[in-house]
Amino acid sequence: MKHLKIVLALTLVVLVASLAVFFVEGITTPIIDDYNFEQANAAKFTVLPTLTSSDDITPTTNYDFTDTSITELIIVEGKGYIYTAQFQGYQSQITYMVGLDLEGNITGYKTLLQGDTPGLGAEIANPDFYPQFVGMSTDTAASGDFDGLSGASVTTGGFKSSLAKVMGFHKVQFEGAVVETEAQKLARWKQEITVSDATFTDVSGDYTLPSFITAMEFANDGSTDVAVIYQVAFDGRNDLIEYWISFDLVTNEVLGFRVLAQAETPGYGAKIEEEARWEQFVGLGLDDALSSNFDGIAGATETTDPWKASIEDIASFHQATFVGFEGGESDADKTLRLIGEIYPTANTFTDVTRKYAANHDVRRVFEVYNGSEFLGVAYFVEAVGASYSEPTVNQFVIGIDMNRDFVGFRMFYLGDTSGITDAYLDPAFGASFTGQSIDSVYTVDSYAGATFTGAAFKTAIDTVVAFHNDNGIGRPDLIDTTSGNILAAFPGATSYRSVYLDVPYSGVIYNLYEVLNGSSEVIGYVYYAHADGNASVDIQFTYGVNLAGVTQQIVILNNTETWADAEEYGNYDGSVGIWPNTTWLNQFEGVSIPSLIATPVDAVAGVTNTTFGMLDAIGVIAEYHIDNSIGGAE
Amino acid sequence: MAKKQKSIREIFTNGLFKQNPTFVQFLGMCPTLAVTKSVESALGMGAGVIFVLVMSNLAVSLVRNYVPREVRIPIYIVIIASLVTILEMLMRAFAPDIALLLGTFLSLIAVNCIILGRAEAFASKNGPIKSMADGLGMAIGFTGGITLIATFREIFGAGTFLGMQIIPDTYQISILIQSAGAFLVFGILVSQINKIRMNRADRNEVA
Amino acid sequence: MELIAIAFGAIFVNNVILQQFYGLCPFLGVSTKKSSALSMGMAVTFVITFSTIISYAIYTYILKPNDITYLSTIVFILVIASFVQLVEMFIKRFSSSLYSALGVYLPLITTNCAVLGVAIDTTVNSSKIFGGNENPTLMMVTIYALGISLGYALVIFLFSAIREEMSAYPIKRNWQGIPIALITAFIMAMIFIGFGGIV
Repeated sequence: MKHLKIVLALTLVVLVASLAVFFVEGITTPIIDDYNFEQANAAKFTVLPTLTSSDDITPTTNYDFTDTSITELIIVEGKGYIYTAQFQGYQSQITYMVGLDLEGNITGYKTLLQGDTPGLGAEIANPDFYPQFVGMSTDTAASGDFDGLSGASVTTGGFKSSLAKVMGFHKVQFEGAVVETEAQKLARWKQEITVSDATFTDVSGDYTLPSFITAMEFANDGSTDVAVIYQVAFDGRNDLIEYWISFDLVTNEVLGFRVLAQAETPGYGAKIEEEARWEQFVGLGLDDALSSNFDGIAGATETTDPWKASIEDIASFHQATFVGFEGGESDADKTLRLIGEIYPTANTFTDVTRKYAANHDVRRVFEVYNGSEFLGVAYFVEAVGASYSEPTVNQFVIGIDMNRDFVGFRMFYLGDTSGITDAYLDPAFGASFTGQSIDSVYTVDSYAGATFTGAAFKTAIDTVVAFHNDNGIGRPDLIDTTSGNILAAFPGATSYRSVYLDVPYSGVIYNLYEVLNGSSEVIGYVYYAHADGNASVDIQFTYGVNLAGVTQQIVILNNTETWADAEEYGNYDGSVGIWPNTTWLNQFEGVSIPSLIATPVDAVAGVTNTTFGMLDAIGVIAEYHIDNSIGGAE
Repeated sequence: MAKKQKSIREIFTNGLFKQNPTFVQFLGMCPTLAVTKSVESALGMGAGVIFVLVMSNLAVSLVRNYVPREVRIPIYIVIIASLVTILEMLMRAFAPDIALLLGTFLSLIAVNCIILGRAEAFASKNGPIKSMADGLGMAIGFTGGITLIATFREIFGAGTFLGMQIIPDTYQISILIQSAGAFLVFGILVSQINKIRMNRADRNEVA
Repeated sequence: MELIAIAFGAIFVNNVILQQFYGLCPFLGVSTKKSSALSMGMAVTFVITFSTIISYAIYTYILKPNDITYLSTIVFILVIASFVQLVEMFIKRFSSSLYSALGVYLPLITTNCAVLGVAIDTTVNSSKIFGGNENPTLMMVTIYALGISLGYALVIFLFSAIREEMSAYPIKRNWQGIPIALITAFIMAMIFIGFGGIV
């Protein structure tokens, strides 16, 4: 009974309530619908004031609105056009309506819906925002040349881009304007930044491109290649920025610049896309490009900085690839002449720079032949000099022959302080190391009063040698020693295999072996190396290191050194034994490589040539071992 | 509780001042703060609450003797929600601007604690006439309360009263019409009303 | 990106209490102690999120197709009330510890206008909060509801921490209780306005 009452009461109340609701609904719905209709259309009267209630305002279905942001278009016969469009604001989808008269001038604007941040993006619905559009031409509206919303860059950016698309659509459909496709635009750009009617050949595959260059094309004017276009990418503030830059292949000036893709912050980094900003690149000299001497974007350093660095990179690449020299003289000829002086018997010079990764210092690489005989290589080097007042650059040509000796040096351009550093222009400077092996501890002269310049040259020459070795240029064939010599350096090892070709070449090291125990596990490494001793014949030795970096045995393989002198010095207490069985060598064994570097073994008076020679060579091995992380060494 | 029967007049004025829902009972605070940006929306909300509260008190009072205790709350909720739905439709049909102004808060009258509170506390125990008087008093008290807040906020925040400019732009305190300002104005008003009430109470004690 | 914007906007920029004034009564009533504020925050998070999803489903699959959206208020309020009732019964039966922590707050939630407010905002008035999008996805709605309730929990908890601290200080008699709480809320709301600048 109780339950029945509950159910009854509930049912009754719900029934009565429903009846009341449906009754009111029946009365109000038509009124609400009318109101909504008026409201919806009120905006249309606002944006196209000439509209009257008798006009047909049925939306047209005759157009494709893909990628125009337009959601509806009403063509009012004899009066104008009403567009409704939608775009993504910062927080919300924003819908707006814009009217155009038959002449293509805006008759009114109204934001219909938005849900953006009050005071910022939401200001797009502030009626104060609307009047500026009245009377505006489609071109002005499309260019975004009107007041945005302060502090709401994302919403403003979205709005301007949407409005531009609507105006673009209108111009194409109703003003006969031709809007080019993306592909057409790119094709036009290519012509604009090279020469008109040029034909283009993708040469990306013909060059070793650094990672920042995504493509490279030559522009041909019908007879010759006149310009090169690089497609370059770099990390902007928000995302990758991609651009084209073109260089004249004769003058090496920049011909033009175009941004292909960017996602920088509107109002800041996105200004990189402004065409006015691209104009400054037309005719920009290579030097200016190298020093990024152009205007960045004020207030957008996080975009400007990587942009400038990118332009510098591409300019250096261009210089390294197509110029390599300063000045207009016959620099190329001068280079070849200097190489000719270094290799007097040469008659063929082949520029092989493209075979190698771009390098800021080593700008050009030439292979030098006498007929078919390969004599060696010559490098054109541009290196930072030393000056107290300004950054300077020195350029020189240096040759390394097939015996891995320096065969000559010619100063191409000395940029360091004239008067003080003139001594380096003297052929005696180059002679100071010509003939030395790049594998030896070669010395480069340095002159009093200009030691920094000397040090800069030494560094530059070291760089050349490193480049030479790293690229395996003229790397000699593997030199092997006997199985006994190898295994003697590593007690416990039963077999070995050479791994030297997997790692960089070092002049001190003839070969490097992995040694294995009876169960074929790698237990360590044996270096086969040589040191300058006192005798005319190099000291050759094998040197074992286990996986923990601890020196095993040093086995001297030849015995032309004299050791007796050491015995005359009483202060040497480790001179037991005669070379090569001296206990001096025992000081290395069982010691780890980092300890050997930190606290080197002392040389021995009276036999300094021998001991210093060994120390130098072992030092090279120790650093080599760590630098190349042999067996995981750190 | 005094067992003496209160007059209709007493019941009506009780809600206006002594038990003012806005300043004394702190009921229905969401609309108190949300719709007091302008006097117009406060009055609109007030009208809505008057309609719903009077009608719901009437309805609840009429059915009070037939409703089983266990389901009284669900039934009150159904009644109130139906009344709010009716109000929503009426407003959207006949006062669309105000309906737009109130937005979601129009629907939220359904969960305004004043309505359910009066249904439970008064209408379920009293006859229809007294219940309507109570509803009317409370609703007008509520309307008066939010209109007072809205008056301060609109005049000092936007420089207008019912849309008419009375203070030049330069001298407005625009934070007052922002959300944050609602807390400030309401807080200050409550503290000052407390002060008056406390002074009065103190005087009574001394006397 | 859009979902992150929705979540951030819901938690901070359009904070349910400080900007939209939903759920003020429990905000001022329950927020005198941190522990009860935390429980209330958890209960509200749970109820808002699930009742919004249920309301969304009812609105999208029943009310809208049949063109009876004018019934939204009445339907939602019944759904929420039943849902809260159900949850209360459920946790009372299965977890007494949870019930003692949250139980007393659940009935309060029925009249918490935040629950109905969010349900209506995400359906009938969705174009307002999702910027003209009248057909938000379930994902957007869920993220929004979750963001709103987290914003609610965050503010009510912060607020209770302030009020606990404040209770140790002498306050003029006429400012005690609600008035000082409102002034505190004013200062917090001012601080939250700052989030609107992150555009």
